[in-house]
Amino acid sequence: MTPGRSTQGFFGRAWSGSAPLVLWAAHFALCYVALALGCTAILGGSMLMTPDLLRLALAAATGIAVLAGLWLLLRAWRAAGPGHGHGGLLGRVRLVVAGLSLVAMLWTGLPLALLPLCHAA
Amino acid sequence: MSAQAPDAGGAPPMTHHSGVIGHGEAGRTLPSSLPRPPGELERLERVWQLPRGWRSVTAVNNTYIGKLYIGTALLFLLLAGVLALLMRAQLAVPNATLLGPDTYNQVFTMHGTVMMFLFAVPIVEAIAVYLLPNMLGARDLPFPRLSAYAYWAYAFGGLAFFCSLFFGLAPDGGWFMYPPLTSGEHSPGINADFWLLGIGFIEISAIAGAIELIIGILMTRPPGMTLGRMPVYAWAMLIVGLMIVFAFPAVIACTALLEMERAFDWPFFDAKRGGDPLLWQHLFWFFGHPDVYIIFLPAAGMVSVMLPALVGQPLAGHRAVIAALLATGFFSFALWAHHMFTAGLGSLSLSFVSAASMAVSIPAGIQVFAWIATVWRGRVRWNTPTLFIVGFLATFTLGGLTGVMVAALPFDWQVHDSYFIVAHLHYVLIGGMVMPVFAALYYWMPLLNGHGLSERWGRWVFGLVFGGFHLTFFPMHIAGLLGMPRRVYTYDAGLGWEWPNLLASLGALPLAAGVGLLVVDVVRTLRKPATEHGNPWNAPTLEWLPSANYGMRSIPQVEGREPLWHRPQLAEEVREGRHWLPGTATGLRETIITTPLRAEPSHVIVLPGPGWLPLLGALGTAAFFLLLTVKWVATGLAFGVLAVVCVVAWLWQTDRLPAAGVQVADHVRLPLGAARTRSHSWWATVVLLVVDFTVLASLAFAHLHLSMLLTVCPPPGAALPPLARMGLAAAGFVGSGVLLWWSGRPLATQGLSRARLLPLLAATLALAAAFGELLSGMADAGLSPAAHGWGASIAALLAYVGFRLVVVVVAAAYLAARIWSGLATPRQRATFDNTALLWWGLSVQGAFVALLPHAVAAWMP
Repeated sequence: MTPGRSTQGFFGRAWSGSAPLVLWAAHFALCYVALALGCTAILGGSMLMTPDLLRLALAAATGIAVLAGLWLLLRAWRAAGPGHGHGGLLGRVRLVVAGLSLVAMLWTGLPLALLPLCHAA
Repeated sequence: MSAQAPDAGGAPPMTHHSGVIGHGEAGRTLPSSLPRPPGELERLERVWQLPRGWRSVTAVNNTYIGKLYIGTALLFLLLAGVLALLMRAQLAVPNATLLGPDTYNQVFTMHGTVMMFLFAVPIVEAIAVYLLPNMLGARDLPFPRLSAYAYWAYAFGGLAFFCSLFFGLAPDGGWFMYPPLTSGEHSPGINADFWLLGIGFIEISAIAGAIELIIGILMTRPPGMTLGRMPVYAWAMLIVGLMIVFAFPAVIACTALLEMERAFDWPFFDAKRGGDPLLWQHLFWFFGHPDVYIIFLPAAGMVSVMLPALVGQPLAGHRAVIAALLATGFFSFALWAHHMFTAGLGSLSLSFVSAASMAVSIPAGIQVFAWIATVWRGRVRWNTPTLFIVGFLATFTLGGLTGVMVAALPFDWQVHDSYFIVAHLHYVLIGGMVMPVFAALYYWMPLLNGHGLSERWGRWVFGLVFGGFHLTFFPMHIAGLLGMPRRVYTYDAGLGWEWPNLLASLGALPLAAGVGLLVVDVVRTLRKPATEHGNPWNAPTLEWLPSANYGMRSIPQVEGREPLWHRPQLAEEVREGRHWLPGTATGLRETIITTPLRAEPSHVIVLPGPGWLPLLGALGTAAFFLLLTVKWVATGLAFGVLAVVCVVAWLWQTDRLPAAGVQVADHVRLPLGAARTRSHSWWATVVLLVVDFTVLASLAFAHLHLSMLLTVCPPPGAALPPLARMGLAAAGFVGSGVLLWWSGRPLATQGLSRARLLPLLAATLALAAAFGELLSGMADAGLSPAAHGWGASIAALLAYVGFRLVVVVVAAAYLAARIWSGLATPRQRATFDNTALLWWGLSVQGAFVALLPHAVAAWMP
């Protein structure tokens, strides 16, 4: 085992196993930060940012994230699903975290459809 | 096994012969053959022997430090428990006068602080320090002195911090110390400073432990223990280590900011001068919520390891449980604001956090169902550890359910800061962590001296603790729903709070009696003469192999997830020295480093033996922070210098390799030591850099947060220096990094001669000049930290770069001394490589800090 191969193999697998969670984290951070920045701009009277534009941007980001999550889930399913020997530890971890991340992203996206954007609680 | 590559540091290629490894069946060739050379075991024992008498405190063995660490953490559990009893006595009846309001404030603050910072996190790290090397078949953790330093710093600092209570100097602002209550204006004494400096540096100790555990888990597993075969507890500790690395810097940053506000009047949290109290809450809970999972996941990992042994079945859903641990680790970072549901943040922002709070219950549920399925498939023997695990399942599930309730915004608005929250957090923390820790005490106690705790007493302990706990904390849900706020020192009669409070106080008595009985049994058991521990639970994991100060006689080859079940003769083979490294190859302490993924033997590292330096360094560090708190600045600085001298002196003894390679099995020689990406110290420095960048990111967040509150950025009366000057400073930081790289170029081939001191000096001067330009540029622009939160946040960034500069200058001087002494050679290059990592980190940070205020101002109105 060469050192390069060993390290690359480790990080490659670590990335493969955690990619759905990184996607969830990126989506969550984007929603939270974009909402904070967008509302700061809207409440500050910005001409560029409007509530509709902000909602559209967040909905689009959520749609893209969910599609990417579905793609990761599909890949994990193909690699580890029935008939594929379940793919060992990595295969099952990928599958479970892809499912969990997708549920979490859908859950995060739900309030977007139901609540006003920039009102204080 | 694949062929071994030559050592990157220039060591000769080592030899491997395939087919020497056992494959799980008796009769296959094992790594080392019998008979072993005479005197091999005696030499191993001599090298690893513990110092005796008053010198025993210089020991650094993980078993010794682990025991002290666990004992000290349990001591803090008792001390904070006594404080809890005082509170329950005070609240048993309305209008009680046992404790006055000021004392009560100190008592509840110390109870929460000690439980969270001095018991909960330390005990999970302590158990890992004790248990993990044996569970992973390693002789010790990869940085034994760092473990010892972290322990002693925690013990000295923690005990001194606790003693502040006896002088009326204990903090009194609650365990999460919200400003403005804790600002200089509203908390003028030094009580809050004790918390800020004391806890801040104890967190540094926790981070040191986390780095140790991450590297230990990834690099010192026994040959054959792939990640898929690694015990779930090690997985849990790996994830927890990474969580600590990302979460704890936030609390270090916010405590530093509040201390700077109190010491220098820099208004980070003062709304009147452009600060924001919510900034503290964001930063504190970005640490505080993951901290709950940092406490829970190790307990969950322990349960996942204990349960299979207790019911005689492998863990159900093993891979799904690992996935659940990973997901919990990630999700927990999105939950910080669920402590801020009533702070006035936007309803949609809070709903994102509410959704994440509910999502995290799914992976927790996966684990609970996996444990239930394991119990279902196995044969339950109702011994004490099993009782505590079942108690944990019931209690934690109830706490999880109330967690889902408070994750719903409208419900939380009703019960926020009420006794309902007190009940919820104790169900989660005592149910989710203390009960598994008690189960672990019963389960792993035989490892200490071969004797288990009393089963008969154990049933009483469980009954008293479980019954007492629910009698204490269940009524608090009712009190909370009836409107009783937390942290009140007394209450009037007639509000309906009398019965819940009386029941809670009555319940505290059996709870305390159960803990007391456990302590007596532990002391009684430890006084028995030591004997062989054997494998009393028929457990499958390696810690039950015969062991001594050196860990196992030979490091086992692992062939499956449950090695002791798959290979019952493993204990005998290991004891006879038939596996890896059956003696000491260099006459020093050693362990084998394996590759992180497949656990193939990579090289051997030399480990340090006993010494005074970690102890004295820890004493210096603790005294430095505590004396600064009481304003003994000169004495404090002297102790700070002592700490630095001790650390430098211990580093001076490292990075020396007595041989090129060593025999670790009959036909296998491995290199001694390795460089860069194969070196454990290189990776430890990388993890340290992650901590470092996360602290800076927290400070950058503070700047961004305060800038977003402005209508005009920079605020009226303030200005930014010209971009060209900041660009010049940034270029200086980057240029110094390039100069350092150039100074180290000959290292790979011929080592660094004294002539290389010149470019090293030039690189240092470039760094200092860049920082000087940064400071003078800001000063010329009229930066006034005390005038406005915006300026204070820039000053905090500058202060952090200044601190990093001091660290790098000390490292540069140390590197220069190594070069001068001829110790920077192709095989002894860790000093240069690790210094370079710290240096390049500073180069990036300096450039970032120089440009960040301009970038933020350009984007803001």
